[in-house]
Amino acid sequence: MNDSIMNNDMLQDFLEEAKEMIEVLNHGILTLEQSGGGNIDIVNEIFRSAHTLKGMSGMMGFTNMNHLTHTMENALDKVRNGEMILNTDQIDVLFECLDELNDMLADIINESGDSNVDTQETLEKLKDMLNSPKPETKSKFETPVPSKPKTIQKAEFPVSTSKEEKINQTDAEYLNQLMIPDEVLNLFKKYDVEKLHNLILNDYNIYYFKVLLDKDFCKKNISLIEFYKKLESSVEIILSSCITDSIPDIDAIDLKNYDMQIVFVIASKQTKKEFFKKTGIDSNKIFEIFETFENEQLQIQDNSKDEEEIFFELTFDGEFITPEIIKSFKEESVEHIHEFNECLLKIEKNPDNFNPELINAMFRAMHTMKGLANMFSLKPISEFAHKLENSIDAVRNGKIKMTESLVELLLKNCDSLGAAVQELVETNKITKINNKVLHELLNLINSNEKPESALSTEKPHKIIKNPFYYGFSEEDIKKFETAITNKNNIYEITFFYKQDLSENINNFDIIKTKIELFGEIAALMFDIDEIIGLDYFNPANFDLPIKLYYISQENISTISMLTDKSAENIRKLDETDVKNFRESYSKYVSDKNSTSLSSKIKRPKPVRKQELENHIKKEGNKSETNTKETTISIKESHSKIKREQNEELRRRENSGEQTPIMEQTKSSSPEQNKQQLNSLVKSGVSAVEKSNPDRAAKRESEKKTGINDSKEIQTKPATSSGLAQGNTTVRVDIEKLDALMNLVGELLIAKTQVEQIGLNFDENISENKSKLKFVTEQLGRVTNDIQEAIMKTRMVPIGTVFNRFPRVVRDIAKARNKKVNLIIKGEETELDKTVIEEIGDPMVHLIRNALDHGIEEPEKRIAAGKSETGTLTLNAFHEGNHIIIEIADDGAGINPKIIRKKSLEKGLLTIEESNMIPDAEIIKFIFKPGFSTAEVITDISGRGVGMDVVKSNISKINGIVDIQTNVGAGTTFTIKLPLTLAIINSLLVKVGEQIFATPLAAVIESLKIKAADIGSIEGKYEIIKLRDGVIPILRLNSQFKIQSKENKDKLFIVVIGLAEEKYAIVVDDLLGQQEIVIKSLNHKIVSTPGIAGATILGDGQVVLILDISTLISNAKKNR
Amino acid sequence: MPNLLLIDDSPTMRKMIKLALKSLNLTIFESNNGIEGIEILNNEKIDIAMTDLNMPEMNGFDFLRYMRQNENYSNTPVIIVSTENKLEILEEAKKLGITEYLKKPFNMKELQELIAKLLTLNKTV
Repeated sequence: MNDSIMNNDMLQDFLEEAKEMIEVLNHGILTLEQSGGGNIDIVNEIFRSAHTLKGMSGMMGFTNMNHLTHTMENALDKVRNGEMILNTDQIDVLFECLDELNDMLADIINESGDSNVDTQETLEKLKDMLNSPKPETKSKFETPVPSKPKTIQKAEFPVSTSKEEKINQTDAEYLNQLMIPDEVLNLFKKYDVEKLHNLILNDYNIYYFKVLLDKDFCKKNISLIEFYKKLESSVEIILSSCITDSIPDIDAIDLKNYDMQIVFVIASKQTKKEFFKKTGIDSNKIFEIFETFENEQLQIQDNSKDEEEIFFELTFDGEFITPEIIKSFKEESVEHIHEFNECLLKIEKNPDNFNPELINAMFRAMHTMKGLANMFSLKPISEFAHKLENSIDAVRNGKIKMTESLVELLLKNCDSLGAAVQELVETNKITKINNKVLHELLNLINSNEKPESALSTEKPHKIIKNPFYYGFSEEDIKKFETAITNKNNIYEITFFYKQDLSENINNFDIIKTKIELFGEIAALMFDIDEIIGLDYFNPANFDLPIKLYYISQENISTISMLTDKSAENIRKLDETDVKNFRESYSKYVSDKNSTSLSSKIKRPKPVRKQELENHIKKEGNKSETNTKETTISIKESHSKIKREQNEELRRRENSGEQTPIMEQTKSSSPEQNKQQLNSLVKSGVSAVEKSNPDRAAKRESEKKTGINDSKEIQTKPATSSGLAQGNTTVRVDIEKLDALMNLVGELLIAKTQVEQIGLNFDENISENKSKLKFVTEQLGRVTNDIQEAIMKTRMVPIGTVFNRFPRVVRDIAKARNKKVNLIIKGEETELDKTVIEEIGDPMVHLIRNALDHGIEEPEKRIAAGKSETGTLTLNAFHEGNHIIIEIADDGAGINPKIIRKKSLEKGLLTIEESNMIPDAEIIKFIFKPGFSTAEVITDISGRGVGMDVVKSNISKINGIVDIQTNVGAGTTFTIKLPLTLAIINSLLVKVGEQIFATPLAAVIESLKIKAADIGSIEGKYEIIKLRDGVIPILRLNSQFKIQSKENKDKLFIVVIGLAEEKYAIVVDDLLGQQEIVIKSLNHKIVSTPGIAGATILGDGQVVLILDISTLISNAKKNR
Repeated sequence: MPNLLLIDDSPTMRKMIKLALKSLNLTIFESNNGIEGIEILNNEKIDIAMTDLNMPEMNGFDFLRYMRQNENYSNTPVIIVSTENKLEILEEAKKLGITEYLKKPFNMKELQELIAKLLTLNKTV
């Protein structure tokens, strides 16, 4: 893969996963060695890991690694199949491979390219291993290993010579190996199965896909016939048919809203992408495409199938899809996914007895999601949501029980969908959606519906008509033949009836009456049915081609005139055509006879043609035109196609029994829908699972080892960090806006009052003065209220952040085998949206740390006399203009001694310094960049993200972090945040003539000191001793090069704190607190380090606002 | 100005529909579910209603049932907008007396025309 495609993210993912895999391999091989190589589960597991590594490295273009892992896989396959038992030497070889893999990974990290590690020697050894004598001579082809179905089938498949034979049990089983839904399988007959089998033997890939025939399809002038022809020219079509159970009753209210699906089973040597390109099929129109069978040698080429490369972009159409609506769509999508997740977590707590309303809520969330995504033409999302919806529906209908594993799968799928939505939110497009776990989910649901699928194999197999049978009757063909002998012209006139048949029917009748004056209509038929082999169709949804076979002596231009030029195509037929008709008819008759046995078994299907006929009749009667011919001709044509069914129908019709037919239709519809549901759920189960057992097994292994869990945790913070730019809207409660409106009203009243005073101010000065005072007060109150109200509109409950955590906590706890009870308090506490967006990531880090290093394993906890389950408390509350967030665990606490020791070891402080710093301060060293928490506090080899990230994130929003810890009793992190970032409370200080505003959020205290109180360390760094702590001094006058008029006896220090750090700023005077509105400055001034912005004071004076975080980092640099 | 009642639990959907109907000069009353919809029915005179089917609190069917039982609204045009395409659902809706059934996703132009048509029809009746 070239560098432009292989982006850094992908590489990171790869490295992480590769490391996991190597770990699994390492562990597995060790266990193998200990257990003497006997355990099949472990062999399977390491085989899968090697296989996955092979696939991933191949995809990333690391050929060296790919080669090595491939050879490993081959060796392990032999072990797995019992052809080889590993001895100690061979295990050593495997370990050597692992070492080399590790080296390769290191190379990749350093160079971000393919590794040059020399694997020649190891490869030789592996190959020797492969060629070593086998304990027993067992051939793959003779051993029915269940996980290798295709090989066996290749060898065992019975080849029959009879084409007309009904498919037998063996064939049915064979077909069941392919991931083709039952509804389609039922369409197969013996001949098709053989064709399929032969194609597989000849290395074809088998695909199964559905095409959605809808209005758009026809508007683009893609005729189904052309489509079929195109398809036929590039691939082998094994089967094509219409899926009937999605077609509604013809009498349904609005025909236009129904879509018809046509399913194709094809064979091609091309990959999916090539296939799309060649046929020119718009992939958007393809409903679903599945590889049902993939030949092995092609496997590597198309490894990307789990994460399909799709590209859908949200675009404004300028009319109905505006940026605003897209924004709202994004927000809503995120909410729905959240809701889904939330419900699942609630269910997980009590899987046996949960509130059924939760299931409904989940169903609704996905349902709405599906509908919405559809409105934006986001097929992948709507499809995905649809499948989840179906799964939930299966639960709702009691088809499958809510089990832990189901919840797990649903959660993972929800994540996949969430990731896609997240991508959409950030980039306006979707490029991939992870279908991996979806297959697993659908598989699970499928397997739970086993009883039904077992039934369905007993269902009679439907017979597909010969696609080239034209559908003429004996009489029709005789008519043609007579016409030919009489030298009459035969025309095939094609009409396309657009969308709504009923509107066109009059028109058609007029034409028909006209042309009948000049000739004879020999036959009339619906074209699609014959050509594509469709059974039923929905006339409303696409252009319905109707073909008239017309015998006349007139020439073609006259015919064209007669049809008012409304005919799509007029073709003159000649002798050969008629011969073809005759041949196909004979073939049809023989086909039909050979299959008549199975066709006796009645399919649970409505007779659509009959209905259509009735429909046309009705329409015709309404318009009171003569439609007799239409009815009869249709009847004639279709009676020949479905003789058996029709005989009965006609009998009923003749005896005036139309209703029973309709009733029959209706009564069968629930059954249909059930089928539809089943098939939908089933059809989603991709071919991948069965055709590639290793892959499925790998998923299984992932589940076991919890790799997926941990990976999610790892990647989650990364994705959510993009949220800050993406989500720029706030949903405001209407009450808040109403309150604001009220206040604006009051403001207007105050304004008029001021105006009135202004009008005749001179007349009554003293009275007006007191009035003015009153109005000013009122104005002040109103503006304050307005400010508050506006701030409130920016406020979002912190619950939106907190709600993410139950899942995070659960995942980590599960992965770490710890028991944790999460308590969330104060989730209704509101704070500014910008703050909310920034606070999520640091909190995730802190929570992970608390779970990883804080809360102990259940055994340790019991040993320490605590309860088995640890408690993690998240609490948020207001304190003045701040919000405090506490993350408290009752774990082991942080031992200051260890921190001190490690800090010294790492050279973060000297021994003298160490002696000066009290325990409470030393703990804050965990925020230092080079300080790895994982190594220090526990032995868990960690993915612990440095606490410095936490600190810098919190500093960014002017917050402070503090730690209180008690060894053995737990740790509490306290995050103190400003309520809002736009209006801040500040402390005005004076240095020389210059006034600065210090964000009050950062101010811890201010003190009056004397110059003499300032001490120094090593004569270089100024410090001040304050109570039991030492605080470094920061002088603004030197920082900004201002002349300060220092009064030696009267100095002020302002102790500022950011995250865990404290500094004391020396100032000449304190001017007091004031709320200021932050105004941004132009770039030149802003680039001055230490200045965050400016504000205007009441007297118009412009005051600069100090940027505490850069001030502190500058000061640190200077040290 | 005719009054339209729009019931859908998706704010995005409501926004889109509102935008599409802007040119028709309607007063649009929005609600999140059937219960809110009923409240609006009782307080305003609604000339045409659009409702989703699958909603929390009260679904579209229940709303429709209520609406048809209310003598003021027994003949008011109702359009169902839903992703459902199951036959029995459609039939049930039909039985309850809906005027049109629009399946999501629908064409906004189509909706415009439909509403315009229904409103003129209703006027002439």
